[in-house]
Amino acid sequence: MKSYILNVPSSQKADDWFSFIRESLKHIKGKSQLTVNFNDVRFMDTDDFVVLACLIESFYINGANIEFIGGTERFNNHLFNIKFKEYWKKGFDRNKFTLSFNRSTLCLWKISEKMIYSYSMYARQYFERFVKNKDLIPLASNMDEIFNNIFDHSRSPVTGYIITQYYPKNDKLSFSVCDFGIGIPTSIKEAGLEKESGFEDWKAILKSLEKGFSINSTPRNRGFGLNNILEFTESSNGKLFIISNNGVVEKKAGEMYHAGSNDFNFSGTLIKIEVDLNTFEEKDNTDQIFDF
Amino acid sequence: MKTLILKNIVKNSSSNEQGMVLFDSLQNAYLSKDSLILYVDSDLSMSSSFLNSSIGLFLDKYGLDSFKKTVKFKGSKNQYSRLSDYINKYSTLYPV
Repeated sequence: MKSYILNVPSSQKADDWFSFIRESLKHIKGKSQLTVNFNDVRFMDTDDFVVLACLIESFYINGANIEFIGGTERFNNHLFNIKFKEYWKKGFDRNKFTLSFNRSTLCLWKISEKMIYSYSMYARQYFERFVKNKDLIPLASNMDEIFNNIFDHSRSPVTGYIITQYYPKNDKLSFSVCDFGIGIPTSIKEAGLEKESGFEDWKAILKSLEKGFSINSTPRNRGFGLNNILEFTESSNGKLFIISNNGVVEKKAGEMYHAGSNDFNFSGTLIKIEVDLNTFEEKDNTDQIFDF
Repeated sequence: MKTLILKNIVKNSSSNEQGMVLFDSLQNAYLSKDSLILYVDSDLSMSSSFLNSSIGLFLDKYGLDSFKKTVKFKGSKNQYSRLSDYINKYSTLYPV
């Protein structure tokens, strides 16, 4: 029996995490057993969870059984509450998403093309309970944009994972989505759309955020998806954070872009979005007739 | 004037496939020289994929004026603003 141990970093540094991902992915083939060792991990952010989930999934789809060890008691309680370990248990129904034991978190969910709409609508309804009379339709439609992008462009063998977290103290909501696909810069390069040689990855990510820019992976792509997400974070006093291949872009509402290169060699895309639910429109259930 | 209740004709308002279902209804109305009221419930979220394959495709084939003559909107002001914003963006970026 060939086994492998994933030693999950207790660090919160992106360098450590992407080095861990890169090194671990060299070992996914031919393992019948994967042990995920949380060692002395006390805390993981939503983006750490979805990156780790994609990594575990990479072993799982290559035939490994998954077991978990380590982690502090409090951290393990959190893993239990968000049902992190359930996904790789025998008998777990991957065609459903389940309620978290933690009211402010939606469970880890493996993005399934058939369930995109039901997840995003469920997330909208779930979090509308926390904010009085706010219309969270834009939350659902922007989740759909990210999910559709994964299936249209990423070619990710693990599809992707999402976790959504609400922070009651300030009515902020964040969700992190990760896939292990080819990445936004590679998609653009493969489509031959880079305008200059040596087109850096962060420039490709910025390009992908432009309204109307599309690599046309499917006939009806029109270049609105990621631009909608950018506008969504701008209008909701939020924050957009994207890491893909060797590029990173961060945009806080009303501020300049922070973008640059890294040496993560990350085959995939990690997107984290944070929004302020107080900025959403009030619900409006009146029916009126309008001309376009 | 016929009222087309969106949630009664599509399974979701996220995918390209379901966008095509809406497109077929819009196109049928246009080709029959009918006009219709598109009723959009306040709890429906519409992705750009869905809109590109429905309204966007209609705009590509028949143009904005034909769309305005064929389709009126019924629903909340929030939903109308979202659709109207999409149509403005689309027709600016992809004029026929």
